[in-house]
Amino acid sequence: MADDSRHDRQGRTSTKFAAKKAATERIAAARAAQAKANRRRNVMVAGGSTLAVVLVVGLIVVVGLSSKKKLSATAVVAAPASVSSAITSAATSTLSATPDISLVGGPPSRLTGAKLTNSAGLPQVLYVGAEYCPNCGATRWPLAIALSRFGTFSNLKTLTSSEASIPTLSFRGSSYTSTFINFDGKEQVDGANKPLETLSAAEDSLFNNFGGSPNGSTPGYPFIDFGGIWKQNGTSYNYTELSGMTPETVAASLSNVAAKPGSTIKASADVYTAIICQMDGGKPANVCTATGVIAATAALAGAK
Amino acid sequence: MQSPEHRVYAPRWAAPVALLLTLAGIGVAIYLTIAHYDTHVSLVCSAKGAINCEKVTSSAQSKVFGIPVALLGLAYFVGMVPLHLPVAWRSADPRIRIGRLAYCASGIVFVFYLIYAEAMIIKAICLWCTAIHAITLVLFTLTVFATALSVPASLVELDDGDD
Repeated sequence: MADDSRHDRQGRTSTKFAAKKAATERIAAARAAQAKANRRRNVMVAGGSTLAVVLVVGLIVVVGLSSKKKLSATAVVAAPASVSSAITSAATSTLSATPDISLVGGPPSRLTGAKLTNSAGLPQVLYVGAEYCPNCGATRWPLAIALSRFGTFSNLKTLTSSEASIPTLSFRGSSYTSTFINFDGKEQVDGANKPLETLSAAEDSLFNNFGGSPNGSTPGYPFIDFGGIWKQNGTSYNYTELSGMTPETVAASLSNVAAKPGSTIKASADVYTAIICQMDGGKPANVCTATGVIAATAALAGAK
Repeated sequence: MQSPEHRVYAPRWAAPVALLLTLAGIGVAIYLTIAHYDTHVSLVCSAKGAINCEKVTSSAQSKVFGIPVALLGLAYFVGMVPLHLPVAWRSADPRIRIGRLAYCASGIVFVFYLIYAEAMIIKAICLWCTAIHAITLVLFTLTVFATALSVPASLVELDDGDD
């Protein structure tokens, strides 16, 4: 009897233990299954969110690329007398002011090789740009002022660039006379990106060889070759300084070299002037020895 | 040191790959920032046609609240470093896990804006900026998947017990 009772107790104990173990295993299995399900759900959420991101990016790119920007040529008109006279006036009246060279970004870089001259042997400034291009729009103002210190423009035009609406000049169909240098200004395409002025084979070669950044990328607008000794790729200041203005208000700002954009345009014009002085041997002296030009020449000494 | 029960088993590749990508992002962002501030440095990139870095980096959209986007990118990737350290990936602290996900998601939202600006407003693509966007996208993908695959230590121990 006593033996039977012991066996019964042991039997009940082992049954209880087995039941407890089975319950623990069931709980563990349930937790593991739950963890696995959670993980699967998390991976699906991760995959879904990644897919959503990729789809949004793809959508933006596809819509952006398929909606071609319609550039339409803006009106190109003869420069009003107020604009022409403001450029001529800025060319002389601002010479003695010291420029803030720090306002000039992307300064010109040096070129080595053959000098660029016209058929008469005068050192030549070659400009290649486009009428839609806002960077060209910013560049033409200081270039026109600098060139006006060495000669006279006629038939300058004004327009607003079809990209970013920057008020500017156009060299299309203009002429320039100087006893010191020659200026060859080509607007290759108009505001609608349609061909406008054709480059000669020699100009095209210069544009393709030197029109890219110093690191040798493909050519871009604007490109200026200063006599084969300096070149300018792109703009020398941010064109947004001219946003919301008109050619007339930019022209009016040229006399105020204490505030932007007059100060920025003046500083860029002085840098271009200093380069042209290097091209033509420092003539005329009153221009090449002016305070602003001397300061710009000193700044250029550090340029590569 | 974290006690074993307060750690997470993240995929082994998560921290090193994320850190490598973050360093690549820092490198490209430094290049773009230098090119922004140093006018003597030009980006090695086309400046004509659809691929036009100069057009993008000199556009009005190249600054947000007056801060150059290149600088913001640099700050973003520098801020990413502590979140992808191995110790951060091992941490079970939900603030780190969720913070890392939110940080990556905020980068993606900014990338959406930048791609929109390039494709719809500027109409030009900057290859260096695209490299930054791609790195941000891959980092986001890596982070969400590695987080999804991470397992709390308690469950791993449970699995071990079963074995």
